[in-house]
Amino acid sequence: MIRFLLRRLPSVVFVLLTTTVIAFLLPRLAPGDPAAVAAGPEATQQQIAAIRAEMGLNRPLVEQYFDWLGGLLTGNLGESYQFHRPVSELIGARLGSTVELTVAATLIMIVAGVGVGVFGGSARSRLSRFTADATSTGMLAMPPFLAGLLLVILLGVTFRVLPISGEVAVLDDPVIGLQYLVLPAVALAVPMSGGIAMLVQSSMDNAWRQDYVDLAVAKGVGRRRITARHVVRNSLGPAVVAIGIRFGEMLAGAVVIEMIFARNGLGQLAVSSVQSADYNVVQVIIVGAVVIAVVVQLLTEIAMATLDPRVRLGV
Amino acid sequence: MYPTGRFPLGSALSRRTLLGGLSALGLANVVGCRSAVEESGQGGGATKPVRGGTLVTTVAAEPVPGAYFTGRPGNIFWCRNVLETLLILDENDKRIPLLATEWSLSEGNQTFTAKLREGVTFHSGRPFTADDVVFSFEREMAGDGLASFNGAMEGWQVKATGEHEVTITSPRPLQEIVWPILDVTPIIDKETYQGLDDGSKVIGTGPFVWSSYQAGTELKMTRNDSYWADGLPYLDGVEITVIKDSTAELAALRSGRVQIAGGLSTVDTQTITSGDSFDLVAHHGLLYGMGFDVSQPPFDKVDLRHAVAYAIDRDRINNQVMGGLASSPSLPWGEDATGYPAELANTYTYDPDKARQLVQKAGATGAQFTIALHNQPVPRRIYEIIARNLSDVGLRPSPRELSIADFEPLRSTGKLGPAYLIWSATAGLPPALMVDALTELRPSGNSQNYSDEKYARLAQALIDSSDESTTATRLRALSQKVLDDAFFVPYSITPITNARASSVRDVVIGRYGRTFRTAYLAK
Amino acid sequence: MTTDTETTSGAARRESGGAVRRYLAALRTPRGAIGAGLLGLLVLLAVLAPVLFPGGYDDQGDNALAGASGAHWMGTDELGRDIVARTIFGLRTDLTLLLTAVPASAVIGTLMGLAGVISRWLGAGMQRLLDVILGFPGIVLGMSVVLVLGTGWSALFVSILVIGLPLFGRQARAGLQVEQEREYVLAARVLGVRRRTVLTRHVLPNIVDPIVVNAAVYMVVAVFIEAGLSIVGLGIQPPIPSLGAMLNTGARYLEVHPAYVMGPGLVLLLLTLAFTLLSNALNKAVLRR
Repeated sequence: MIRFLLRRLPSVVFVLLTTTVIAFLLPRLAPGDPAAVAAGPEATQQQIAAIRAEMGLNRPLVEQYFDWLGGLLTGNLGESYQFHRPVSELIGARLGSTVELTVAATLIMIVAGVGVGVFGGSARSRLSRFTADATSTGMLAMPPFLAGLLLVILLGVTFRVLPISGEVAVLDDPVIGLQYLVLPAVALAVPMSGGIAMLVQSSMDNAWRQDYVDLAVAKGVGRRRITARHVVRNSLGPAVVAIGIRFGEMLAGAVVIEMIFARNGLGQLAVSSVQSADYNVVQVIIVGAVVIAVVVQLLTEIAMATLDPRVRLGV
Repeated sequence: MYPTGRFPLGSALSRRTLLGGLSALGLANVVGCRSAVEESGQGGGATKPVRGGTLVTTVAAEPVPGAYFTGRPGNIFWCRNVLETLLILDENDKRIPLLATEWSLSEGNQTFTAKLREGVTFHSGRPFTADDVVFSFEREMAGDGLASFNGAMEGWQVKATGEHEVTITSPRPLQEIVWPILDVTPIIDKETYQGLDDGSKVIGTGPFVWSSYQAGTELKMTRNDSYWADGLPYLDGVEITVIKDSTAELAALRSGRVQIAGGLSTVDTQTITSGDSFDLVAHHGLLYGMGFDVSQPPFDKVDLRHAVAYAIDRDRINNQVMGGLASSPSLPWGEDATGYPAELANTYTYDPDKARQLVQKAGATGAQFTIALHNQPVPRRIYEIIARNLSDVGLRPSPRELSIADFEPLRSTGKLGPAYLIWSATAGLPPALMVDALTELRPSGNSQNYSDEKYARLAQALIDSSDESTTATRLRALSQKVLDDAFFVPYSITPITNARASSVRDVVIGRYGRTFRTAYLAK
Repeated sequence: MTTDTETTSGAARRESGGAVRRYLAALRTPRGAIGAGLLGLLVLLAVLAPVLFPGGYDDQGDNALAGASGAHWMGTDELGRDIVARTIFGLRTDLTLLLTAVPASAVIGTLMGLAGVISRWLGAGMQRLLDVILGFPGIVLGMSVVLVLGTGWSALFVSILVIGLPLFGRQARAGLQVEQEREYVLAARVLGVRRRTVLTRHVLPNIVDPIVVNAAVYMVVAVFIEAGLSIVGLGIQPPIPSLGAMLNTGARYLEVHPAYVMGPGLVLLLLTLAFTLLSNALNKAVLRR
């Protein structure tokens, strides 16, 4: 495994470095003047000039980049223009909310996705296959925000069963916190689980055609046992990959879901920072999102190898 | 001037009653033994002040403690509760004394003297004296305050003329402009004012103490037990949560999680207040208007600017964006202004035929140009109406959406392009203050690159007026000039609206923020 | 970035002809038929929008947020405009965006994937570039684009184009690698057939299938991108309607005017459903061979 990690290292480092370059250049490519933005709407020309000097925007670009990168690596993420607070603090305060949401949604996604997929893949009657197909297609086609809006209408406004706005940290108060978490997590998980279900089902269909299954059938092993022992087990690999790949998408979906359900997570922070051109925050969020996506991808590859020994860690 | 106070609007929402019934039947308990829906619920009914309770408010824009001097929308629920002013102007412009007990004007209205309240202490325990007032004004004039008020305060001398007396002397008459300036100047603690910048230490004399703050998401205030007014405040605490999405904000109100919401558009506010449980609070005002770069085509032609003034369907903007609560004058001043020239107010009314002729006269038929606007829902909707109006009279506008952070620097340097839409909280301020406070009306350094000697002279004359009758004559002359040159075309003055649960009583509504010193939650 | 079809990618196609026949066969399956029928209907509506609604999408009236009536089947929006008309014009916006940005993404992405043919270095470089793009969660990339280009059509177009590149690029690269190992390709090269000929004659036809399937899959993602960016307020500029932008405004009136969200929401769902069914059918048809 260590050898595998070492082999992947150069490309991972390349991806991350390029991302930092892109993130660094963004504010400089944007139409607004970062100094004017930092100075705020009421600033005079002199104040803007002073802030430009203070921010080091007059220095050579390369020098600025390495300074900024050094800051990132040492945990000095800079300060938000809007709040005059360290970016690390802003992110730290919202991280918990987004982690709760994505973890809950991932769990729902795995349960619902694998559940529907296995149901469809092991079903024999036309009706149950059709039901599984329709369910996964419907889920796949349903955008998270639409699912969110429908849930808000149905459960938050028409039948007031679950809270549709705000949050309570699950760790602070599990009973209440989970209630706040259910709807956004479901809305976020629905479309993703559709994809998983479809994948599981189609690889199960594939697995049924494999020789070892034929052999098992020939040996007179029961269908249920074949499904559990051979088919499902050998079909989960692609699902794991898909779940890993979707984790990045999950973060992206969280942005919209957080808006709809008024959760103060990183997505909210990202949107408000883009809208108010708070570049220091945007930069860190971009780099952070990419780091997470890349790490999860690596973990996925490792998990795949553990699940399926035929896959060598060297793809 | 504007409809103020509380409006329980329209008919009751029968669905709400039905839902209440449903949850009473135990539907809410399906979820578990404790329900978050129930826990955040609220009731309403009595009229006598009740001691206790926590008021939960929500704003769409985040609180920014560093901007304590400015009227940021996110600051309305904390600013006046932690930091107090000498006096506050309520929604009817009535002067309510806070840290000042009495005041007087003298020397041709160029000297203002205020007696300060004794026995007041900051949250840190330090006694409040005249030096703190002097310090606050000095910070304000040094650039911490609203840049737009700096011109009006130029040359001011603020002196402590006693331990509890302050005197302001100005080179210009003060009778019109001193009130709104006192209303915007919070008294800060000179020992800790640097903590205001990032909210790490926020010390004032107000009824509530700044207790916990998460930048951009949440702010909590607790009762100031040693507040100078005995028995006040009634509430134990005030919380502010930030909810950026209006759907979510409405949902939070509906679910009873919050009791007051700021930052919803008027139409959204009317949506929620159409039931029984919420009141629509309308106060003060926002001025909406369109500015033109008069130094470049096509709007260097005054005919075309007049054409736009006639082309805009102000009634539609009022009905479909402002919820019918706005007024649609051709002048930027509030109707309460001293000597308001009411007969000029309707110079420009919706007249597409006349507008089309003026467009032709200016030779601008088919002219293409951008209109810059804030990337916010209300400006977008106004843009859609105006763009349609202008296309109808033969012009071809296209939008240029900018974040507020990008928009404002361009505005202050006059680089927004041919035309742009603004909104401003200066509505209803005295005209003598507005000609300096509103960038678009400044005689020099305005955003439209407009420069006219006569206008500059008329504006200065208005500032120098020391009594009501000269103010009136000069305001009329200036108004005529604004209408003639049409370098800034106002189309709406609309009250700021909030939705408030009916159980919340006795909130004092200032232009720059609410004070909850006497507020309570009726049981 | 949805890579549902990755499982099919390895098995590149050998035979060059018959692609069209295969796709037509896919359309005869129930899924394919429903998907194609739906899509055809939606495209037809979008194309005919100016004929069906001569008033256009910006015909403002005095009667704002009105309920359903004979003149306005789903009522009117906040500026008194017909919601059905705006929904169909919004569909037109979305389809125009999809049908230009997705093919552009497919072509550019595939070319990037095939860059290895020109030089090993270029190929590797392109893959690294695609890795970087893949690292960006979709909406984060979209927001970065908005930051540079400002809100509007071009930001949406560029976002959809760029986000899709890794999907097509990696697919093409994988196809290329598999094909290059094949005997007939090796044989052709031994025989001195020019690289470009090998590429166009043998490699390209065999990677067309996965590209088509992926394009159909990516259409769904592209709808999500448009709507996602619009919903957080970073979408197309007014007064042009798009399905996402309508959801964004309509969500404000959930209680007073549910049809405002339901109309565009339903059309958006039909659109993603059509593409999902189509991509499923195509994928199956292609796999079956």
